Amino acid sequence: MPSEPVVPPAAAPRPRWRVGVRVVLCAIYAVVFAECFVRLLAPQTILPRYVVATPWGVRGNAPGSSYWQSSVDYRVQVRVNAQGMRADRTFPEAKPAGTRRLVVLGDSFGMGYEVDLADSFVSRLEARLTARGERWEVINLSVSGHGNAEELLTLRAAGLRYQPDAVLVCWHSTDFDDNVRSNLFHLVGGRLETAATSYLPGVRLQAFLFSLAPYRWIGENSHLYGFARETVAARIKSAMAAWQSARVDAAVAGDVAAEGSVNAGSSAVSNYAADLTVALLAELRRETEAAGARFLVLDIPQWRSRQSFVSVMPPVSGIEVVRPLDRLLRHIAEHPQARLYWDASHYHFTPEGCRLVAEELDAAMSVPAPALTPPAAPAP
Amino acid sequence: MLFNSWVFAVFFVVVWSAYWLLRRHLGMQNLLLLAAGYVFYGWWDVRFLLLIVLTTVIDWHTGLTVGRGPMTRSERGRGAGFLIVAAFVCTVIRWPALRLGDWAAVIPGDLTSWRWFLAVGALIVVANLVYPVLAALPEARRNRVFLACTVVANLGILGFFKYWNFFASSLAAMTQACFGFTPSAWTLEVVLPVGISFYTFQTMSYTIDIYRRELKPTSSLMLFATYLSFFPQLMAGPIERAHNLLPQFANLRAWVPGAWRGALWLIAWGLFKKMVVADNLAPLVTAAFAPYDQGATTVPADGLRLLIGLYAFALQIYGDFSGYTDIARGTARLLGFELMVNFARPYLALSPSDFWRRWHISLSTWLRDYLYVPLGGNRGGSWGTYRNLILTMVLGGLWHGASWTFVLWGLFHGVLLAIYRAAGIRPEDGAWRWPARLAMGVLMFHLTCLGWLLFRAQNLATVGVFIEGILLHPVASPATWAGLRDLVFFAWPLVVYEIAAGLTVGEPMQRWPWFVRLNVWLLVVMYLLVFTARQAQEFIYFAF
Repeated sequence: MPSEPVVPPAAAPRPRWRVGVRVVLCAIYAVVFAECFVRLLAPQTILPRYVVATPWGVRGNAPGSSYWQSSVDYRVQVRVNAQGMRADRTFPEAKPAGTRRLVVLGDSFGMGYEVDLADSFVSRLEARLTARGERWEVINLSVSGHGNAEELLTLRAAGLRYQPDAVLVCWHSTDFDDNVRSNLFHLVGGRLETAATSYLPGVRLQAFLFSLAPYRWIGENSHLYGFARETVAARIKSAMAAWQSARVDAAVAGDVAAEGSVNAGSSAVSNYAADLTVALLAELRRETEAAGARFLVLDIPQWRSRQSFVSVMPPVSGIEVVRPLDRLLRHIAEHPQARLYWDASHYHFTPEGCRLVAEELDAAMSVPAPALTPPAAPAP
Repeated sequence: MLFNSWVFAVFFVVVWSAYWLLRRHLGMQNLLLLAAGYVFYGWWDVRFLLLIVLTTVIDWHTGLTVGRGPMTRSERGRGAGFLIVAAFVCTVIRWPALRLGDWAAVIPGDLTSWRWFLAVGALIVVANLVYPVLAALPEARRNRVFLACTVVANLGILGFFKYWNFFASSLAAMTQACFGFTPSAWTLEVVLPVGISFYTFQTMSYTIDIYRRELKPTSSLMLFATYLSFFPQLMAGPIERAHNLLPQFANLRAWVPGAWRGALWLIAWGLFKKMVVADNLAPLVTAAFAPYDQGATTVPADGLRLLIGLYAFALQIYGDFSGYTDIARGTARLLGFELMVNFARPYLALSPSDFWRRWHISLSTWLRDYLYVPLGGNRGGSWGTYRNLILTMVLGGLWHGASWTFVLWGLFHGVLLAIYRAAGIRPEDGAWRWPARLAMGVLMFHLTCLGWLLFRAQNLATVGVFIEGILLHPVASPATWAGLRDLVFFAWPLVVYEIAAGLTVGEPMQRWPWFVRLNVWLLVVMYLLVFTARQAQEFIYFAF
């Protein structure tokens, strides 16, 4: 009698909860794997940034925040006082008698990113000025990400309230893009005009996210998060810059075509960014000097390689510009092993770079302001 | 449109979605694929799309005439209509004006802008006058004449675009040397249409197979045009045979989501090979070769740096080309097609014949079937076989372009094949012990690298410099160690995967345990996210 064929029992369907648990475990494992991968093979610079909206419509440092910045080269703490300045004390608005004040406007360079507060060129400058026997207070209103347009609004709303004797604008090449991207001011027929009253990219979202303790912990400790944030931010910045450039391109090309010139297209866009920067600096100067203060611009050289830095600041007439480029180049020629910028992370100054910049600023401020011809009135 | 671009990603998502929405309508699906193929190709340069259409029409006519008999007037009318419309779209319409919305300039009124259209019109008239005469010939003779005309037309187009610059500049140099003048009219600086070598060989195989009665012709012009312009493999292969791919267009593709996991793996792995391995090794290769490309002849003191550059090129060209193939196979599989395997871990080859069974398989089998075998193959005794091997490989080298280095590369591989055959060395047969197999594998890899040196060098002096530098100055410098570090860092996953896959029976990403697969996926995705080269490079084989 032939035996009956053996039918294998059908595999029981896997319970859904087991599939769900497996998926969740795999997802957790994937995140841990990715974190380890980035830590081991591409360690990130962790530069958390806590910003809030200021009453004058631009980003300001979150008052009272304290956080760590770290990379393969350093680990530094950033402490922000109750007035939103990177400082360990607060400053009354009324200037104490016998004290002179320097208001600093800038971005992450001005804030002293990637160095301890005491090593930043702003703190070093204060120490050097005080060492000369003069009583100086440096009011540092720098906020990472600011361009000259935001600095102008900050000067108007906050800087001048401290009755400065001098105002220092830390100018860096990123200001070209920042000024166009923020779209707070634009040039119409060569004249600077207000285009918007606020520029607060992602501030509310960041404020919400950083109000969550676990998110804050991840932001300050996770290399994977650092990588993702940098990548996404770079893409968004690039897209915004492209969008603004296209907008400016169309406007400038139309403007230029109307004037019968052929200088349109992308070169017109870069010319526009330079013209906007010059106009903003001229306005910063005008308003500073109208308040009776001395106006200086620090031209922060751009890093090209460990031995090469360049200045890309557009020519500005009638403005006192402090240029530490020669001092940096001289130093690196004499000390080829020196590192003046953190070139493995975000290209801010190292403590050594800060020291040289502070020396240059000190040298500039130790002499009276040169007599300069005011910039010509913008063409109508 | 490059596979490794956002434009292609968007393009593919749109095509893929529309394609599966039409999954019950074969004709519409094929029409969509045809349009997608032409958009994909025309994105690069719409003018050269006309060449694909011309090749399509020529080979479709020949295929039908040879395989079935003379075509009807209506069939010829279909071909002529297709070609004339293509001529209008590709050469008359000003696409930049269309993009800018300058409607008045879209169709120019001057005669010069219509010259190619008129030329195509004249070609159609002449062809239709000649066709009845040739079609009336006795069948055997008619078939031979049509095949010959088609081969000449295909190779003529390919030869003109591929070799004109080489011959014209050689001729110009000769006339300059002999008569003191350079005829400027000859040196046209002809642009090489991307993918022309691939689709020409593909279409030739269709016609030859019909002539040999190994394939039945298709009476559908649209089906044939879709087969020839299938965008995943249009630019750089695999050079698909009609008997494998054409029937897949004739039948409804199955909606099998289960197959997509393998397809996505092929795409991810292909992107990894291209964007992480090949593109990150490109600067190493450039650093090693660039001074010699520009005429330098100095042998460096640190010869091992050149060896690192050569290893880097071996991995770059493999990552680049096989990466393209993997992406092509993956995208095709997402559309329900199965393309042939084009690479089978070639650097694990133990002998030259083993290498050519693993490297650019679609070309090596094409050369075997349509060149080596017709030349006599191994039927003419030992010397005849060696001659055929060398001749086939030299012509295979020339397929890559008109350059003496390509000829030498082909000659080198032909001679290697002949030597191994004469010596009867066949370590891949399995009779050899593993140490001997390992030694033969290492030897074969280095012989392959020597071949790549001939392939990559712009002149023979560079070959001499590399050989002298590596053999007589085997010294490492800091640049050597930095290069080795980059080479290992970017290529180790590829090398480890290839070896592990070589030890696995079947498709590794289906056979390995799920936890291993999960880790391989994570590693590849993280490498892609973190280490994609900043400077994206075009696929190397687009130049062939």
